[in-house]
Amino acid sequence: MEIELGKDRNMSIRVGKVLILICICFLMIKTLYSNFLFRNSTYGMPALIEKGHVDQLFLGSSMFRQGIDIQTLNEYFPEKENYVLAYNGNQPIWEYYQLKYLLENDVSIDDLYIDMYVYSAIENPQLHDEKMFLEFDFKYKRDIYLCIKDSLTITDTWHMWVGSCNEMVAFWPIYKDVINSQFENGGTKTSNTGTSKQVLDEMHVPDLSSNINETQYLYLKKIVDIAKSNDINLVFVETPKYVKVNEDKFYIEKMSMYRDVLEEMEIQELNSIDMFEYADASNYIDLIHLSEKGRKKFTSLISDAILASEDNDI
Amino acid sequence: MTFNLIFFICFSFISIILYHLLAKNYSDIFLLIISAIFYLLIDYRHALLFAVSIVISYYLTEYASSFSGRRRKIVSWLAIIFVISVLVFYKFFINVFDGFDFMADVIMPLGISYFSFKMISYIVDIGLTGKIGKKYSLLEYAVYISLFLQIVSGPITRISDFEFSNSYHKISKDELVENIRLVISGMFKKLVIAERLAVYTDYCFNNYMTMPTIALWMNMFFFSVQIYCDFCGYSEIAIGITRLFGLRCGNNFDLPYFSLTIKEFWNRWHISLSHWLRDYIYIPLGGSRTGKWQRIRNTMIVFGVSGIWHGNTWNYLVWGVWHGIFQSLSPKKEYIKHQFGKVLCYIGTLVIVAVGWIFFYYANVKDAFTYIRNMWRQFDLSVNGIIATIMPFTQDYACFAHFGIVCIMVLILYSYEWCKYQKREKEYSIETYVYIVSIILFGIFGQNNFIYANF
Repeated sequence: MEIELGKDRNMSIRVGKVLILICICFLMIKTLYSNFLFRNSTYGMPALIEKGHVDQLFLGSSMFRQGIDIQTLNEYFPEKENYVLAYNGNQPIWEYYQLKYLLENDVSIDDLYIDMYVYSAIENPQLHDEKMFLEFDFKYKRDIYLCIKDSLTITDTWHMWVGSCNEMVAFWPIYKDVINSQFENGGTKTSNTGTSKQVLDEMHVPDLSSNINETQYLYLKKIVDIAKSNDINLVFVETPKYVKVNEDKFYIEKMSMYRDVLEEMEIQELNSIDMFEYADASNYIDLIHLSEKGRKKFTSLISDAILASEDNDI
Repeated sequence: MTFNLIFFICFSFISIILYHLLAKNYSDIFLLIISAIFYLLIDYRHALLFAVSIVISYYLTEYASSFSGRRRKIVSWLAIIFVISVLVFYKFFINVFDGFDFMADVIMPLGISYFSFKMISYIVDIGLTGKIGKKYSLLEYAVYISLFLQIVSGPITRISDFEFSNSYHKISKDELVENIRLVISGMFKKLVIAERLAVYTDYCFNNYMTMPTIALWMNMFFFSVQIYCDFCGYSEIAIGITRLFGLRCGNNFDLPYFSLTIKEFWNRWHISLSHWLRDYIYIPLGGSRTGKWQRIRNTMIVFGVSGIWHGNTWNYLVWGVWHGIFQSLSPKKEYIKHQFGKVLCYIGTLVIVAVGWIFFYYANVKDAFTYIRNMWRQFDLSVNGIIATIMPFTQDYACFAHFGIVCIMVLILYSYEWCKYQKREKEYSIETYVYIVSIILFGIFGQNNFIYANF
């Protein structure tokens, strides 16, 4: 009996050690493995790198994910390769790193549309979407860490290097078909109905009392520089916000500041939302994100504006 | 500083090392000093009140035990009233006078419910009934009341469980391994399951009007798992660390969701509180010896007090009464012999407890009833309905992965606990290694507040 128990104990320790070893190996190759996995995805950076070329890239935050309808875009520009690359709360600093990473991985881009998401431009550099950790390589992950390390706690650092997105990587082989069916070239295909005026009126307008952050301003400039040096046609786009936000004095003030920055850098803005029905609640799922109806409408307007600007160029 | 789990564990392990290295001959003083440091770090504003309460309750009890008969009872009751007054002031008047300027800076002292219950048990056992004849010094009493491991969420230990007079106990290698395993098991429950579920349950409870029916059902069971993993997780960590100091401490949970009846559930859930209520309220009221109706009355009083102890909103009273009713109706476990009947009883008890947690969550009873009513709307089993059910985990498509991990982790926990319940637990299993790997890969570290720390 003693021998049996001893055997059992040794076996459990051995199995335990193997488990911990597998865990450490997983963490070490996580970034590499996830890059490999997501190349076959219908959204995200690895899938775009796999494509190698994009005519029109929409790079931004969840405003773009919810606001750009890939099917409408493909109907307007059937001969072009269109792609939406969106991360929650994407800031100019990360947009710069995303662009740089794509270019270093030999992705050629003709037209780049950047989301004028003023809420992220007033913030200090911080990450809102940890999926970015999975899509960069180790070097870029380190760069991101260095950008924000002063604001990170020990648990944040642990999360960044160890805990982030493990469940996504572990489950990707199982649920990839479900996710892939919801996206096409980075754009969502999910149908969602709009909300009511009453619900929107009860929502609070997000705070916009701070000014445009200096670091974000610096990286806006860097985006412009990198686009120019790679012959990318750079355009900034504002997505529609519910009338309550659109008429908010802070929002008007900060958007005006944002436009001054673009003017200073001699960057064009695609003005396409004047025709949009801001006050129609069915166009929104909340104060700043569009519903399926709003998304289709806005994408039609933006496509018309792109076509018009192309005609003018000719 | 706000309380968080990682700080608590680091503080505890540094203290354990120092305790075993340096404090062999001064264990009581050492425990008092580190408990004081801990209290000052977390809640320095109430440290003086805490110290004064300890001194007053101790000397009133001492004074009471110097008499016999009526005077002893009067002084003991004075001590009890003093402790209850402080508790009632902080637990109830804060909310009653909420909004008044003079109450603006008043917050509840850390662990007030737990240390008040400990004080009352001491006053009753030493002063009022004289059940424990042993004399304790102020130092011993202060260590017992203020022990930092039990101040946040219990367990509510008795002074007779403690070994004092610097009776330093060196722990063996087996004890070390066993208790570290217990701490890891607690961390797994808290960091991997409870923290992950908290995001989902908070969202669903706050948006129940727009959530699909299936989400409301799932949320009810998820909250049951969350509150168990949250509280049992903390208890296991606290008990494991207490034992690593060489101190005795009984279990606070014993696989409560494998109960056949509500009566059995309360013998397995928050055991230290259940026993406290039994010993200091139920039995003094006459217990079950005085007849059927008196037993029901006493049960309802105990559960009413248990409900009110959790907070001064009506929902806690409803929750207490809900459990009181089913406790009164609860058949004896021995009567349930048929296997199918047992399965039905397991499920029935789980559902009763889970419905009770809905009342526990909502401060407004009306919300709880509306939630329950909405659980009977038409089930939407379409793809969109299922996506909307799972979406609250992350609000994006990563929700599927989070949902999958939660299900696997709950299944792992369930299978290990089922083996323990069936007493088929292997002496050497890989359970702890599975927990360690899960904590590293899927643990959510951050503020890690505990639900029961609010009480």
